[in-house]
Amino acid sequence: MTRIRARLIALLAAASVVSMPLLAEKRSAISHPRTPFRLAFYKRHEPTYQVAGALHFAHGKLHDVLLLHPFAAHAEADAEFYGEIMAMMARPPRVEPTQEYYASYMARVAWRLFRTIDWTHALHEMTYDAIADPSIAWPDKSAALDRAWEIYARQRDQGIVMSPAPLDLTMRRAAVMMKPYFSLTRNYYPQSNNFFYAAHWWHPATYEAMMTGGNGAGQDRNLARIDEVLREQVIPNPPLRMILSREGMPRYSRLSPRTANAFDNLHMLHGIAYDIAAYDAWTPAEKRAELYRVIDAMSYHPGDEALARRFSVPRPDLDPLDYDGWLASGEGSMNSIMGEMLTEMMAEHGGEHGDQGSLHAEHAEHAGGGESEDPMAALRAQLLLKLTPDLQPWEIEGSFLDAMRQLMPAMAVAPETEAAGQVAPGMVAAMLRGWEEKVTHVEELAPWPMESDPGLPTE
Amino acid sequence: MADGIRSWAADRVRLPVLALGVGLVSLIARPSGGADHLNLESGLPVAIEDAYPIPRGGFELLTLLRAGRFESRNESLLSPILEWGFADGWEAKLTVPWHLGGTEEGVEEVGVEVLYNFNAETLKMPAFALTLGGDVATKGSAVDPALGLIVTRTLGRAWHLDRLHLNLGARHNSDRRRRERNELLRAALGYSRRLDAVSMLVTDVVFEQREREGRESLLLEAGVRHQLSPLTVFSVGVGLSRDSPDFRIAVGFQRAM
Repeated sequence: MTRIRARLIALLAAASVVSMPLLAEKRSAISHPRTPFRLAFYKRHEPTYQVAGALHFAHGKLHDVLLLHPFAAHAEADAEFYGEIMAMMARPPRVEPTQEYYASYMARVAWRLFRTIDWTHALHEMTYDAIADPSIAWPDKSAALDRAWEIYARQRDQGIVMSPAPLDLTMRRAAVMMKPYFSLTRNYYPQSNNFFYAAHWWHPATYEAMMTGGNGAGQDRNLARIDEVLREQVIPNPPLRMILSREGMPRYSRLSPRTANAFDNLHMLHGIAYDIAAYDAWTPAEKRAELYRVIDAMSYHPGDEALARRFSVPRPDLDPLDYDGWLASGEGSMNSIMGEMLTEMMAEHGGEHGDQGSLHAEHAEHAGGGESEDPMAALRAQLLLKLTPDLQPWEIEGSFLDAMRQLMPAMAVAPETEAAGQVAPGMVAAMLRGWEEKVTHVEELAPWPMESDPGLPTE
Repeated sequence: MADGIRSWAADRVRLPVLALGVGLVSLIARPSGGADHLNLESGLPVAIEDAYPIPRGGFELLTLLRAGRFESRNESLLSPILEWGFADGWEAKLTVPWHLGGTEEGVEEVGVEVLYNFNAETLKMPAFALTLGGDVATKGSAVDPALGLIVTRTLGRAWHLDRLHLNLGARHNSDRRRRERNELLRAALGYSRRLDAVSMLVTDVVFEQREREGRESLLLEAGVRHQLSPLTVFSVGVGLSRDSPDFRIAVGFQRAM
């Protein structure tokens, strides 16, 4: 009897060991898509292609820098990594690295994160290729971009396709503002963070420079200039916010809103993933659970495509070659969305609506918090400081949740807020209701006319 | 004597000409999925393979050129290899080893293999893959079935993407002759490391039972895989046997189709 039991135990143990890899997450790598315009951007604009390689080196490696350095050593880690980024920018890689290549630790923590990023980088490549390929007539670019989107979206059942809906919606679904990791990278790793703000200027600027350059030599001239502006103006003086597609590439956003929104969602996912990686209090398993929750929220949901044109472009005639004060500032669509979300959440908590969600520099006057007569104004001011890279005077240390607890100690926090992989459903519902109300006032963005090549003389 | 010189010269001319031909075909072929120098391929330039297939939908043409003196015999081999990521986690491979010169001149067998990757590596669990295939004789009907296990494990924090790879395999000798083994075992332990953005170092030690009873080979190899473009990987390596100074040089081209 004892022998039979021992054999049974041994058999069960062996079965559980053998089944582990069977039950584990699949690698499920996808080949780079076959398109008629494949590698057109690489062949035509190789120096610019290499810039993307350097940016994506930085994107990949920062995951491991944050995961593997203790948070307390943030200043040293930030300075050291920024030096590495600058070295890579000086000698960019010939071929774009996958995320795993410089971040094998995060690859083992949350493989789907890297599948999502790499696949959406493939969408970047496909869309760059479509516009760069001179054999595609200017009026046919839209169809080529649609083709790229269809190829990308075909993987939606894999859970790695970013949503084609505007960031306004997906940020509300993700509901990260009250999470204990929110804004850690932006505030404690400012050099690395700001490099990505420069990178997220560069991506839309590159699309828009092609849009204004046309199919001919104007495209080549514009892209050469974009690379100069990146190195001479943007990296030394990076934007203080994440530039959204609607801000940095208004023409392209009208031409291909689905891909433009997917890029915003990816760029935001980068920032959230860095915050989660930087948060020391969670185990790798908890970080994985939270990352996958956020990916689920920001990825394709049925019905998202119908919302793709529900946003407005603040500067429809933007010159992508002109990096001006508005682009460099911290005030823009990103902060507007965050301000709206705060208002919607606080309304759910019975708080004041304040000034309907906008965040402006004058809010910083209220940042003292405890001495303010209006804790909502103080909270709004702290959010503005948290959204500003680096630690600012009057900024309460830690995450935005830490600031809220200090300013509003009586405020109840839902247990899901601090739990990895969970979110307070009432909070999300309140924000989604808020957006649904707002979006009724947002007209569908009109398509961008592509009848004539902007690089050709007009008759 | 003159015939011998002509034969010797023909072998040495034919090898680079064939290699050039296959290399050109692979370079001008219509591109699609990107080749990947991180994804180790058996023979390019060393024997060790990782537990990962080429991506789903990928189709690659690989060309291996190997020459040298091994186990007291001159060896010249040109081997085109086709790989296809035909389903999620699956890879099919067709290998046509073309021996140039010597008693085994020509294509004596064609290798077919499927690889299935079970999982992505995690912090606690390596990546596992199984291979199933066989060598099909071009003359006669003998098929030598083979089964293999591949394990890939990233080491520690892996700032340089340090990885260990274990390949274990067994092949059945269907056309067994007197004093030959029935089953042939093979074990290889490899190590790979990122050198820079486009280059990987790959080393291994390979133990292999030969068909003749009592004979085994032990090979130590090192090489570099280098990404030339988004579609093309070049690899070069050298192997030393325990009968050193015997050695062999391997050069490989890998091109996404």
